[in-house]
Amino acid sequence: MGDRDVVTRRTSPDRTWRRRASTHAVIILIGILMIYPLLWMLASAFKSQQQIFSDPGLWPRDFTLDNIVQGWTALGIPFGAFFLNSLLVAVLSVIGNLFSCSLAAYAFARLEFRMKPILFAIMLGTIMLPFHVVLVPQYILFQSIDWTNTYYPLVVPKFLAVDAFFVFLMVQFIRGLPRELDEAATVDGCGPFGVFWRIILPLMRPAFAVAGVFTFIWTWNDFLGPLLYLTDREKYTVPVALNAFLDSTGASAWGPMFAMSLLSLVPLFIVFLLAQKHLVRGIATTGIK
Amino acid sequence: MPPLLSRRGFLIGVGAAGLLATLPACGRRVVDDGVLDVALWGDAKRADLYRKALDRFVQMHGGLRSDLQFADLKPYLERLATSAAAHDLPDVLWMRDTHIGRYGSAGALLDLRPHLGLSIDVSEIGDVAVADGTVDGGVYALPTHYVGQAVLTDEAIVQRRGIDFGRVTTWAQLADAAREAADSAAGIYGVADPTVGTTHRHLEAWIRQRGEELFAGGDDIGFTAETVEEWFELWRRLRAEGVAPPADVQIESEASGWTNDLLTTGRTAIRLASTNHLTIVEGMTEAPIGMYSVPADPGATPDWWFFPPILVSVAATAGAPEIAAQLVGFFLNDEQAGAITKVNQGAPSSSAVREAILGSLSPGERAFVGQISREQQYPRRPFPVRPQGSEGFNTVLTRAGQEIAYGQTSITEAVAALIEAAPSTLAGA
Repeated sequence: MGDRDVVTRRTSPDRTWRRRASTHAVIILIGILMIYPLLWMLASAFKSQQQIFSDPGLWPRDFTLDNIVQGWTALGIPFGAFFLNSLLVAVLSVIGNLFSCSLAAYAFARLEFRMKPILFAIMLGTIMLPFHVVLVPQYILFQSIDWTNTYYPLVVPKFLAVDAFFVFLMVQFIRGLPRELDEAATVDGCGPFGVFWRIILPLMRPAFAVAGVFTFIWTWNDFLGPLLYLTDREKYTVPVALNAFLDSTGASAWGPMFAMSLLSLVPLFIVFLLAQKHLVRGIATTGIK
Repeated sequence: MPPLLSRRGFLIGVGAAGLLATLPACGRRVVDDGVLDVALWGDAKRADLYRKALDRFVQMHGGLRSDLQFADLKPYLERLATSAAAHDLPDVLWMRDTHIGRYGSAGALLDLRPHLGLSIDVSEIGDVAVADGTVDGGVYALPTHYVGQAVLTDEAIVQRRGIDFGRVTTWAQLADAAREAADSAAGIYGVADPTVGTTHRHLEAWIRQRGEELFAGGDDIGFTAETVEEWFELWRRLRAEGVAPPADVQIESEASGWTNDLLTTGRTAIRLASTNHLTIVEGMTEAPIGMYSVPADPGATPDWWFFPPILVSVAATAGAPEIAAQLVGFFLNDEQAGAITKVNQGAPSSSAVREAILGSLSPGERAFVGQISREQQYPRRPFPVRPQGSEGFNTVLTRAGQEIAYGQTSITEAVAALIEAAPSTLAGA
């Protein structure tokens, strides 16, 4: 009888509801803390320059759209041009990475060739190489073939499977696919490319979603690469254009910069929303749990 | 099932695609000739002003084309470092006084001596200005502008408290004025703390006033521990009295730039700043802002005055050094270019340009140019070229100031650590 009382108390709806409510409250609080910088930027985009730092509140006292209007035209070129530039680089990078990394991953996961373990280790080693180590040699290379102030240095390497992280991610994914499928296709007359095209590629959608979304986000947010290689204002990507609002030795145009920063998040949100379902599945199946 | 594409066919396809990608770029290599690349730090507004001035130069040299690239200071320096490593510096570039030693001695810049007096007229800037860009006997840069050190005051607060700041000429008087101006009930500090910020020009003034130097040449410091300890002690006392803000308040203010500065937001009566900051602050606050010379104690050396230069250089790899040198001369002496760029980077180094543009300046800009012109009449001993690791040493100074302000270390310990770290920091290690 006593045991039954305990069980009844433990599972009472009231108690369960309270526990759930407190858990949700804590999660919401942590969520608000994490999203606060974004909310602050959102509020600052609609505040006057004077109020941005003097008024810490999240609701603008004097709501203004001036920052958006000024920011859109402040650089002498409509800001939309920088969005298009970023979009061009990001989309080509996604295509390049998906194309080249999947081929490289297929080779490492399924094909047998000389020095495969060594090449795989070298490929993995490049993940650990800090970007700044290769910055100057890369710049010298691209400068020597006159690729500076063009989009080639930002895009062409993506078609050569240089993002070892994605190659590794796809290798892990392909290793999880049953080899029997390959063997059945081979029996049916498929060569290595046929197996890749007809069997592996259709099954790689979750891995493609992860690689595609992350490539898009990283490329969209990349600052150093475009800063080094793009010097014409017309060719700026969004992060470099945002930097043009800043003058750390004088007075920066914070309001317009926050307004344009806010707009620059929109494509990322859209990509995330569209790929969310595949992304979750991809993360669960590619080993980046 | 037949294969969709043979392995060989695929490789040939990829190779051909790669080759095609390189073709348009190869075609552009020769076209770059005749383009003068110019680079400066700053925002789009500054770039627009210099673009206009550059257009005037281009008009004067028919057939010439020019590109102007810009970025905020930190990314600008990163881009410069990378392109210097690739021997691909822009033809004409603005250079920090903190970096001229490094770039000059590395052979990345053109020695301008053969052009002085010919393409580059230096008669209006004087020998001291030429010395500002001299490294190991070569002239690798010349100052287009100067900034100076100043004391800015919120005149509304200062006058409300009955302070005649014009009579403040010594550091002790400045501290007393700050004590009088402080109003803790109203949340107003007397003076902002300069020891936790990112630049330490006023400390350098303090050091030079004692006949010492921040940098002695080479990779050596030129000051004694006692001198720097006295500086930190002055500000520690003011913090302890509540006259200067605590470390967290000051650092938060510094982090968000002038928009949230203690002076701009009416939370301090006095602030040490650069002369060119006057116009920035005036544009952000309705309070009248006063500008005064840096105080000096009665025993100060009379020739301590110095003016950090905004330098312009020519890359050693410039395709047309003569044209590049002419552009340097143009930015130094052309009065119409000066009328376009005005005081965006500082007070023009040429006295003739300064005079020419004075009438078109706002009252604040006139005050700032006037103060520099006035102070440049005082005797000045040479301003040593910054060693390679001067920026790193600047960071070490900030860290020492912050550790003292937070009470994490004593002044003596912090200064001892500073001096110990100096040789390796200044060598750029």
